[in-house]
Amino acid sequence: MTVSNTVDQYTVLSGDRSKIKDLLCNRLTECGWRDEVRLLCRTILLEKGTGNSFTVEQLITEVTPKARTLVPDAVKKELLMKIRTILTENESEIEDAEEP
Amino acid sequence: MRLGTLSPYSHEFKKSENRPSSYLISFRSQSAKVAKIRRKQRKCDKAFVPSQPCTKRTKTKENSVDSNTSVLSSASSSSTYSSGSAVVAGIGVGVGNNKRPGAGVGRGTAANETVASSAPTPTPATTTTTGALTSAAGRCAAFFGEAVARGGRGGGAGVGGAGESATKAKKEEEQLTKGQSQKSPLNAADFSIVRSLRTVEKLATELDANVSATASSTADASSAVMSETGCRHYQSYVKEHSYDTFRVIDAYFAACVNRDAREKKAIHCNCFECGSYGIQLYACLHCIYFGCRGAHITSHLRAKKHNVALELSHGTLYCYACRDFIYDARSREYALINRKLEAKDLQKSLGWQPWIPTAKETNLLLANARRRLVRPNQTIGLRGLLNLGATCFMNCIVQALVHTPLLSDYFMSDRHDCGSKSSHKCLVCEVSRLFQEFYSGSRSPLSLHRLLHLIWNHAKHLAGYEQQDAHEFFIATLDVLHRHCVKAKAEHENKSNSSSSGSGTNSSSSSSSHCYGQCNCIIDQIFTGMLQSDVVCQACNGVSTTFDPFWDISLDLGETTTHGGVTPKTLIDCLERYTRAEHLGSAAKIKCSTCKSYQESTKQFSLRTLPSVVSFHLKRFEHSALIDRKISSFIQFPVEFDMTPFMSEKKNAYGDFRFSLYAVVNHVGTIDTGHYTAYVRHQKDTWVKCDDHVITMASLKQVLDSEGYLLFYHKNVLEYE
Repeated sequence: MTVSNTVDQYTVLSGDRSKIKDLLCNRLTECGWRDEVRLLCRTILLEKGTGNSFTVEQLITEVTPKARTLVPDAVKKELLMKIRTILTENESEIEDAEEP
Repeated sequence: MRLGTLSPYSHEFKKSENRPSSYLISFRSQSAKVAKIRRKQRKCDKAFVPSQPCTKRTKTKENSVDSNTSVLSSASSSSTYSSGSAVVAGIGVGVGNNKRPGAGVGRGTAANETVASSAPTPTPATTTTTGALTSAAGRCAAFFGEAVARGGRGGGAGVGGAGESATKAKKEEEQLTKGQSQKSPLNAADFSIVRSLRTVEKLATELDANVSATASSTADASSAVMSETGCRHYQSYVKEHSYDTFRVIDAYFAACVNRDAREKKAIHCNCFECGSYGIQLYACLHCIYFGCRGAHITSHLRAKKHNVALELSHGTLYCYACRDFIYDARSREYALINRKLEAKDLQKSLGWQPWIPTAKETNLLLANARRRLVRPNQTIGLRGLLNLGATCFMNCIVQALVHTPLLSDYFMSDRHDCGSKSSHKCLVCEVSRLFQEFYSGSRSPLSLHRLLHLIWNHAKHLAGYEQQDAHEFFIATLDVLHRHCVKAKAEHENKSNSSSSGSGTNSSSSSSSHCYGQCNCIIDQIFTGMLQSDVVCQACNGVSTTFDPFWDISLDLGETTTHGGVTPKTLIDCLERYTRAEHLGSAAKIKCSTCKSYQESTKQFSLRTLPSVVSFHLKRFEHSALIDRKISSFIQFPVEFDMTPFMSEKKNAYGDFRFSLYAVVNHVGTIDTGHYTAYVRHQKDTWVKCDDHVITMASLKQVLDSEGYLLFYHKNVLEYE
């Protein structure tokens, strides 16, 4: 069992995972990232979406790298800090869990 | 073929005896600590995984059944349904797996809890495996009992011997349990999809009962988006399997509705191919299978000819046949309920949700195709107000209120639904009309005689043609607005109640009008904060804490009695003084609850919760026994500032307490007579001065240099409901 999996399981169990996810979604909406990506998708669809050959998968592969670069550093930083706080707060519990 | 794939599987059972049992234990005791589970898992992993690293995965690939790692089990009962390829999905959340198999396979084991432990000690290897499988099938069959019955299978006729072949056993098992489900109710210890479904349904009804409004709003939403019916593949899936599988998987693995669900998700919800907890996992809705986005899930869907999968991080449905995400109104409703349950369980806000116009809103938008585009330097939203004879106190407050973003959002979206027929008596309706007037585009000054009349009627102390205090008027207006909001809501509820079930909520609505701390009318949502007051006993250091709702913060400007008679120079100074611990002195001893005697104590205010709009009242008018005077000293106030230092819980980093100035009410003159004007922020970085019917542009410097009597700050970042 890797550390990453333990962290995954722990955050899911404590409900922090869902809170972090919400925080990220909210921040991305607030900073306009959502709208930007929406616009990006729209432009791509207008360009290439003629005919029905263009699939969601294709759209995702095209949008993902661009969308990633659009995420503001402030959001990344805040999220990192938040995850760090959660993990340090629960460090002892996770370590307990780690022991065989 | 199946036998071949099953034999390594059964060996596993022998090798890792403690593995399934440890799982069983952890499922049994729902309160099992994660640590315990983790330890058990590690033990198992050590004992088992290194020796046979890939059997587990191979097996899942072959069968999509993983009773070792997963309590979820499935039965690919290709022969049960006429379609021939349909697979029944059963979720055994929690385990209790092996009860029915015992009975089902006919080894005569009683269907009770002890049987669970009999699974890991298999006698003939193959039978155990089939046992595990059939148990799944059993549960599925019980769950999909109707479906099977519809399929026209004869009840309980054994087709093949138990343990002969997996398929046959399963088939038989399904029929058998189908019979069982008709004869006897499900065993209580059997955590099955039925049970999970019940949990989810129970929680959902509780939620509906608590928030009666939710039910109506969901109904509204559903009628509006009824056109969304997914794709034809999903429709046929639903026809065959109903919404229950979706509902339970969503409730347990997408939005975990309770601790139990989170536990299940933490343990089982990882990719069957690579074991990762992935950023985006999909769950197959036909059988038990989790897979990462991309190759893992698609190869499964392709291989098994399954169409519908659920994306677990957002709860979106994916149809493999369409190669697209699909949207289905009913499923969305269920998903929304699950999201609400999750939010309630974790005590978090619901998160951002896109706006879906209701039928009414869509029609309104269609009917009013003309849009008004607001450009910078446009005067829409600005109107002068006539002075009706010393009513400048009212005009400046109305200007400030009209320019409160949240309040204008509320009234401009026509949210006030007045229950009473006599809406001309309702102040909220009047303010609603006022907003329409302000944004009508007309530039002539408005006369507020109706509003004034209403205030006179409802706040008698303000009646008459004398000059009044703007702050007093502000508080009185909020009070009347709040009362009318509550009244309108109560009347509305009564109306809807009398039509359906009589007047049951009378008591609750009247009680809510008394304690406005818990009211959720628009005024309370925007203006009400909570003040915490800690009284510390000097003898025993015992703290007694009380909470009081507030609409504004009144700040002293005079010399402080302690700390060498300093006069505050800035708003921050005033706030520091306001939240400083204050010694109550020997004259005001308070009975301490721990000492049981009257002791000297200190009292300290702090802000427990902040409203979206904080208004500060600088006490410029000093009324004392000796002299009434106006303090005209300059108090510096910032455009933007962070209220975090004045909060009760500074460590709570989740909140954002930055505020921006949007309106300032000024008083010129003496304590007896004078004139009120207001600066309001019209658009970002655009300030205007409202002096009754005269509206002029103003600079930010002018605003900040003004004396300031009432200061209105708006929260920068709003939290979600």
